[in-house]
Formats: sequence, C-alpha cells, structure tokens
Amino acid sequence: MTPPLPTDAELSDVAEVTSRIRASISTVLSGLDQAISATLATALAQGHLLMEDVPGVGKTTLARAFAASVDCTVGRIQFTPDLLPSDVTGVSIYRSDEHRFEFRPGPIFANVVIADEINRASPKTQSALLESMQEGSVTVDGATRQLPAPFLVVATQNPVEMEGTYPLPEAQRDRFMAQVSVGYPEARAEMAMLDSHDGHDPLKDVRPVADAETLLAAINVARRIYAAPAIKQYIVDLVSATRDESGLRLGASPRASLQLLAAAKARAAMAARNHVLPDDVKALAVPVLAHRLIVSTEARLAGRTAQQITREIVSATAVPSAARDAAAPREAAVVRAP
Amino acid sequence: MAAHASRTPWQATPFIAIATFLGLYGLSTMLEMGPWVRTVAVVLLVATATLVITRLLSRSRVLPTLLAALVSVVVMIPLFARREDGSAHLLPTPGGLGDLGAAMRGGVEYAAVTIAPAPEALPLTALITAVTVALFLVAEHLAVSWRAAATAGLLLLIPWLPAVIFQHRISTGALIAAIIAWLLALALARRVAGSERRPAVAGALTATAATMGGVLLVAPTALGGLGWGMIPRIDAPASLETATRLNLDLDLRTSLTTNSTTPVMVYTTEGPKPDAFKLYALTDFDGVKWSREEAPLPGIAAGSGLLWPEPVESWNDQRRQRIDMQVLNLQETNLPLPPSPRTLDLEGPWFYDSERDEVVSDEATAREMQYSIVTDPRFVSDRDLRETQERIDGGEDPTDPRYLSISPAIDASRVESLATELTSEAETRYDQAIAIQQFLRDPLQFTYDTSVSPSGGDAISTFLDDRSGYCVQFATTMVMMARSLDIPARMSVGFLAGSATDADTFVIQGGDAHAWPELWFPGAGWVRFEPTPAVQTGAPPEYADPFTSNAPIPEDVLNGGAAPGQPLQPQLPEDVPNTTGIPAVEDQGPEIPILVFVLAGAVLVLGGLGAWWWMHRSRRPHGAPKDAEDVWSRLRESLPEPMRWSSDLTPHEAAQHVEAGMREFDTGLSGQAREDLTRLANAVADHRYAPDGTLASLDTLSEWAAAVDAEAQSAESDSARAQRSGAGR
Repeated sequence: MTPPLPTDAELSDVAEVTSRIRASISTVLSGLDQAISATLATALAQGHLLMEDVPGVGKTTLARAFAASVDCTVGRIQFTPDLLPSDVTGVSIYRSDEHRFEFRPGPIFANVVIADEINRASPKTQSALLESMQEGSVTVDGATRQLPAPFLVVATQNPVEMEGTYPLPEAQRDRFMAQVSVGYPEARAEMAMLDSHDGHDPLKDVRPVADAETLLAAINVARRIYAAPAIKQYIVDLVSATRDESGLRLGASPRASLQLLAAAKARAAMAARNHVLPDDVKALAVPVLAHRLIVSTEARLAGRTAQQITREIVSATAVPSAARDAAAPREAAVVRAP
Repeated sequence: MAAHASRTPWQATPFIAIATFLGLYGLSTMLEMGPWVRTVAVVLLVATATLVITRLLSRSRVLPTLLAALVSVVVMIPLFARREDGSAHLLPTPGGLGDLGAAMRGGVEYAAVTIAPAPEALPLTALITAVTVALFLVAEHLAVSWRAAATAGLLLLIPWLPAVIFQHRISTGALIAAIIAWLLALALARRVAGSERRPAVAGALTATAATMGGVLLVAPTALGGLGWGMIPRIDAPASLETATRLNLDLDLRTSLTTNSTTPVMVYTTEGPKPDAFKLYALTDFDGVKWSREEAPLPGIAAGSGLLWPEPVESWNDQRRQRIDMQVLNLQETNLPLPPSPRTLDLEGPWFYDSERDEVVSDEATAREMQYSIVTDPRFVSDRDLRETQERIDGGEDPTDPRYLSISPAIDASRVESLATELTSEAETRYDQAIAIQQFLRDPLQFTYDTSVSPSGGDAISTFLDDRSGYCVQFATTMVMMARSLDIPARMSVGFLAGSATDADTFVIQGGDAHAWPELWFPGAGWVRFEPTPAVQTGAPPEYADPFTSNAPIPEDVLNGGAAPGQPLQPQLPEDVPNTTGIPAVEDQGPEIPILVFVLAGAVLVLGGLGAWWWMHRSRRPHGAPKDAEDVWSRLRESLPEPMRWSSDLTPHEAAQHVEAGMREFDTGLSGQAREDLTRLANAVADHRYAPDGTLASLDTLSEWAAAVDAEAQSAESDSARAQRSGAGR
C-alpha cells in the first residue's frame, strides 16, 4: 500500500518552512548552505546528524541555531569521560514523600538533542545515546519510554583532540544518517560573522520560525515523495560501487541505501518537488555515505579520503535513464504475451 | 511492440527457405530437374510453415527447429518410405521410419552409380529432400534463432559449390534470386540495437535493390570491357544451359581461349564411333581467316536417300552402321554428319547441299532434337584412294577454281616449294596427302598450342615459322599445300567424335569443336584428313593412317567390332584437355562460370558494403523520436564534442555542461536557447523520474532540442572559422 503522493500545497508548505528555517540559521552562520541543507534534509528524513570538525567553526552554533529556529524542546548534553548513561537517559528517583520512584527524564527527552563532543564519553554512555537514536525510545528500569517526535540528535565531535577520547566505532557511525563538515568559513563569510557577532550573540536574536507540529507534517510529506525505480537503481549502483571500490576497506551498508533514499526524498520535498532527482542523490551522497566508509591503509597513505573516494564513485556511476529502467518490467510483460 | 523485440525474426524464415530451394538449381547439371523439385518444395513449405507458426507462438530458439525437423520426417515418411512390396507407409510408425532410412541409403547408392545428370528416382529424391531440409533447418536456425544470417549464407552456398568447382553451367536467374533472398533474410534477421525497432522491411528492400543495382552496374565493367551488352544476357530467360554455336570466323591470328564442357550432342551407336561430325564446309581463305558465303536453301530433301557428293556403288553391303543422334545444346542451321556416305531419318525441313556436303535448314537445331544416321564408316580405304589416281589423271576434279585458289596474301611459293619437297616421293594424290598430313602431325616438327602469336598478313608463314598452332593452323596449312599441288581442297568445321560415357553412348562437348581439311578424290568425294597432332585428335582416320592402312581389316570389325587403329574408347583420354581445335565454340550465352564468380564476388563485396552501410545507418537514430529520452540522447549525439555530456551527469547537470561548453566557443547560449535547454532538461528529468512523466509533447521537446542544437552548431562553426582565420594570419 503506497502512501498517496504529496499534494502541491503540502509540498509548497514544506518548501516554505524549510526555507524559513534556512534563512533563520543563515542569520547566525553565513556561507554554510551545504551544511544547512544537509542538516535540514536529515531532520526531515528523521535521521541524525554527525558533525565532525575542528573546534570553533560553528558546529554547535549550527545545531543550536537549528534548534532555536524551531519552536521545540531542546536538550543539550556535553559529553565528558565521566558522563553516565543515566545522565543521558534520565534516572528514577525515590520520592520518599510519595513512596515511589519517579522518573526524571534526561536531556535526551527533547525534540532536538545536541550531543557535544560525543567522542569524549565512555563507550557505555555513547551506546546509551545511540540506542535511543536507533529505537526512538528509552528503557530505564524496565520501563520503555517513547521519545518525543520529531527527534533529532545532532552530535559533534572533534577530530584533532584525540587525547582521552573514545572514537565512535564504525557500527555507531553507521547510525548517523549524515555527517556534515562545517569547515572554515570563506573570508567574506567570516567578515560577516565578525560583524554580526559584534557585541552580542546573534543566536539570542533567533526566533522560532516553525514548530514541532510543522516539522512533523514536513517529515510526513517527505516520506511520501516518489522515487522512480531508476533512482532506486542509481542508489543501489552507488552503494554497491562503494563495496567494490579497492580504496575502501568497508563499503556502505544497506542501511546507507535506505537513509540515502530517505534523505534524497527530504531534499526533493524541500525543493517542493514530488519526486526524487538524481541531483538529490548526488548532493547527499557524500554527507550520507562518506562517514560510513573505511578507507584502506593504502588509499589513506596515498592521501585519499572517504569524501574524495565517494565523489569519484559518484562521477563514475552513470545516471540511470528511463530506457534502462523500463527494460525490466517490459521483459516481464513479454513473457505473458502469446 | 515489446513482443517484437524478443521474438525471433520469423520473417526471415521464408527467405531462407527460398534461398535453400533455389540452391537445387545449383545442382541442375548433376540432377535432372523434374517433378521431384515439387516434392522438395512441398516438404520445404511444410517445414517453413511449421517454423513460422512455432516461432510466432514460442520464443524458444531450439523448439521451432526441432518441431520442424519432426514434422518434415513425418511428412517424408508417406512420400518416400516404401515397404518391400512397394506400398507406402501412411503413418510415421517405426517401420516407416526404418523404410525412410532405407530409401535414403538407396539414394546414396543410386547417386554413387549414376552418371550425371542423374535421372529422377524415388530414393534419390528422398535423399535430396532430406539433405535439403536439413540444410534449410540448420541455416534457418543459425539465421533466425541466433540472428547469424551471414553465417547461414555460407551454408546456403553449399549447393552452388559443385557448379563452381566443376565449372558447370547454372541458372544465373536462380543464383541472383537466391542471393536476393539471402540478403533479405540478412536484413530481416539482423540484430536490432535497442531491441525496440522493428525490422524494417522497406529498408531491407531498399538495401537489396541498391545492392543489386550496384552489381548490375559494376559487374559488366568488372568483367572487362563487356559493358552494357552484358545486362540483357544476365536477364536472359533462365534456361539452364546456353546453346553452343560453332564459330565460323576461323581466324588464324586468334588464340583459343574457350574450353567448354557443355554437352553439345549425345549419340549412341553399336559400331566404332565415327571420325568426326561435319557441319560446315569453307572454301574461301583470304590469307588470315576463312569466310563463308550464305547459300540459298537447296532443293534436295535430306531424308530422301543416300547423301554423298559422288555416286556410291556398294551401299547395300554389310558395313553400314546406325547412329542415333540427340541434340543437347547446339543451335546450328547445319546438321552434324559423319564424313562418309549416309542416309538420314529425321523430321523437319532439312535439305541436302551436295556441293558443300551439308544438310541445312532455315531453322536451327533445338534441344531434344533427334535424328538417326545410317552410314558406312569405312566407305573409303587407302587402296580405293590410291586407285582414284587414274580418274584424277583423267581430269575428273571439280571445275570450281575456288578449290585451288591460294590467296595472294600468303607466301604461295614457300607453301608450294615445301609441299613439293614433302611429296617428292609420292606417286599418287593419296600419297601426297598422307605425306603432308604426316609432316604436320610430326611432333618433332610442330607443337600443338592453343595460343598463337599475333601476326601481320601471312598467317601460314607465321605458322611455318613458329611451328605451333591449333587445328585451324594445321588444317589451313594442309589445305593450302594441297591446293599448291593442284589438289582441290577445302576446310571442314564440326566436332570430333567426343568421349564415351557408356559402351555405346558418346557425348560431344563444346570443346570437341574441330576443323580439318577435306581433299577431293574422284569417286570417293571429299575425304577428311587429320593434320592436327595426335595429342589433340588421337589417331588419324583409318584410311589416312599409314601405319594401319595396309593391314587387312578383320571381318568382325567390319561387322561392328572395334578396329585396332580406332579404339572404341574416346580418342581423348580424360586427363588431356579436350580443347581440340577451333577457336571455335562460341556460346550464345555468356560464360556463366566466370560470370558467376565475378557476380558472386561483386555481390558479396557490395552486399557486405550494403550491410555495413545499413547497420551503420541503423545505429544512428532515424525517424521520429520516440520519447523525451530519445530527444535527449539525439541532442547529445548531435552536439559538438565539448558540449556532449557524460553519462554520470543528471539532466540538469548536463544542461549546465552544455552551457559551459558553449562558453568555450566564446558565445554562450542565448536567453531563449538557455530557457529551451532548461525546459528540455526538466522534461527529461520528469520523463525519467517523475511519477507522471513529462507533460511536454514530443514536438515541443524536439523544437527545444533543435533550437539548442542549432545554436551549438553555429557556435562551433563560427569558432572553427575564427580559428582558421586566426591561423591564417
């Protein structure tokens, strides 16, 4: 039972909302269109975002700006080595006056959770967060509690400061839909930043331009975007190419295919389009795929990064045309003909 | 549409069948054509129908062939399988199958013992049918199931191979028709790129017509100077054989090139075969060539009695011999006759010319014409001929001075002195003739050679200098020498007696054409001598053979046995090239084997070129575009190189790529073209990826593409011009 295609009105609503959020974030961080797009797409595709970058380029700011732009609950966890899982999920406290345990929800019970420096926490605490991300619920003391919807985790990690960190294992990275690198701003963007930060924190000026309801509706629309068989074929081609690529020790998982399609649908929805284009897939291939790949030692020594290899794969994979796509069902029809 | 894509190209099947069937005509010199051809056609038709129907119903590659083979066997059993009592099997029982196999084995045995052309026989028909159907099924399987019609063509060539190898004559029409059928099958069964295009019958017909037109134009030129004269001959009615005519233009300067194996006549006789069969007598020689005046039709009916220029006394003795003649491929107004007194039994308006000793008509001999001759092969003997000397001395020679005339163009004194020297010891005219004949036959003196060096005026002197030539040179020289000795002499043209195919059956081939001198002996008439060396003509006539003529003739020979000097065996051993003489045989039709080679070569080359052109052409898109994808890929193909996008680009990226490419030409797209390009890219993206496809019509899409393309092309040519002028400076 395929859900009905989104109507034009729904699509334009999504486009309007996302462009408002984008504009709102841009008032805080300029010159980050790609990262903002990826963030929005991940949010609409119900994924989670990993931001890996050097300190001070605005990872946290981006996450906070997004959170501030949407009128929803925001949780923030600063990960430290001594952080306990219960600090993330919440704890049951004994209320002596009422003679019972009362669950005090942790910061994860929020629509947007900012997990700062996730690689500083112990693996135990990391898993608590990642499990919740995956399940959409938290189980404490045998009771399963549903997390609010929409639920977006924006985790940041710092690649340079490796002392006393617990890098995310590959399996855990796979749970993030996309990884965004903010990167250093361009000179002009940095100038603008200096201006805007002059004397006050622009983040404080950000007013919500959407609420959780609107975001949920947009998520619902994005899910119903049409993806032609050719697009699915394209995604499979790309993902299986990562598995055959000699420069990679580990290719992308089937979950990567699913998430790439979901993200591409979200991006199409943001453009008020009721179908996915290969352009959507291409734009999201690096954010969605690269962080899951493990570059082989030889390739790494040759100076190739996962991002580079992903881009090479994209440019080496033919965009599917309708003719190729049409071949399969037509063959099937032939068999039935007399 | 989709069904056409994967169904085997059954349309080619009937053409393969036609090509296979026409292959039977390639065997026409080995098998007598007859009603059996219809039998083969029926079985082929059944097989074809089975194949086509099965291919329409099934997409299997193997099933149609297997089914057709099965059906063919089932059909062949009632046709060919016979029980021992001769009754036919009606049902495909195991017994019927066994008898069918027996029939085919019988066919093999029959073929092994029969002399070509083999007459019709049921086992032979069974064998031919089975082989033909098997050939057809394999060729069809290759051509249709595997779309390898070109390879199948090699199989279809097989029936024509005997004709090529043995230089048999075949029907040009059948060959050309077979080639056309094969070309059509080739076009229909070709692999269709993109798997959606239907095989274009119109295109196939056009290609075939163009190819054949090319062949008709080129082949005559390739044949070397034959020019347009060839064309009507090629289109001549498909008579399986072309008739033979003797070339009476005996020119001593031309080399002999023809070595025809066309059977001209066949005859049966119980006795020894005659020396030769004469058709024409020629009297006038101008120093280079012989000529002949047309004479009015004589008044003596050929069937009216004994035909000989001189009265024959002892006609009613026992030495007469009957010869039953049958014309095969000869078109002459003169009848071949043995050079001895004879009576004729024949139908039709044939008349006897006693002066020339010819039987003539105003109609030509036709195939299947039969007549019988009763003759006395030993009418003259050396003794008789010596005894005529008295009458020669008595002045009984013919008075016509042409029999003694020597053309002023030849060196008469040289001929005369040579003749006188040769005959210095001869006492009689007969001895003179024998002396000249033996001089010319002497292998130490002369060699037989069909190629002669071209010479100027005096061909006799050239011959006496070169000491080589063929029958015309030898015979002419003997005639001239005889005339220089005042012996009335003339030239005779006809055939040697041919070779035996049977104890009493002989076949005369075109290559047996010959010329010889006739010398006058009063009472005996015109007597044939044989100055051409034995390597070509065998032994001379018995009366003219100095080594046998003195021996008594045994009685049994006179009664029809073999004479020692004249074996019944063919004069020409099989391994000796049987070109005996005359430049002689001129076919009315073209030399088909050579023509076939040239034509087949030209057809193959042109067919290959045509097929290449056709396939090359078909790779390019033609006709109206089918959909947005088609418009898009055509635009990509037609754009100049820098604008062609690679396959990893999405339509929108491709549009940007085109714009970037235009900027390389320093122009960039105009606003309108850019808009068209964007709209086109959007439409293609919609067509490919949107749930409802694109709403833009094909015409609109094509217009947009054309606008972009036009701008790109003009930008490219502008840029090229600018570069050229830049380089010019």
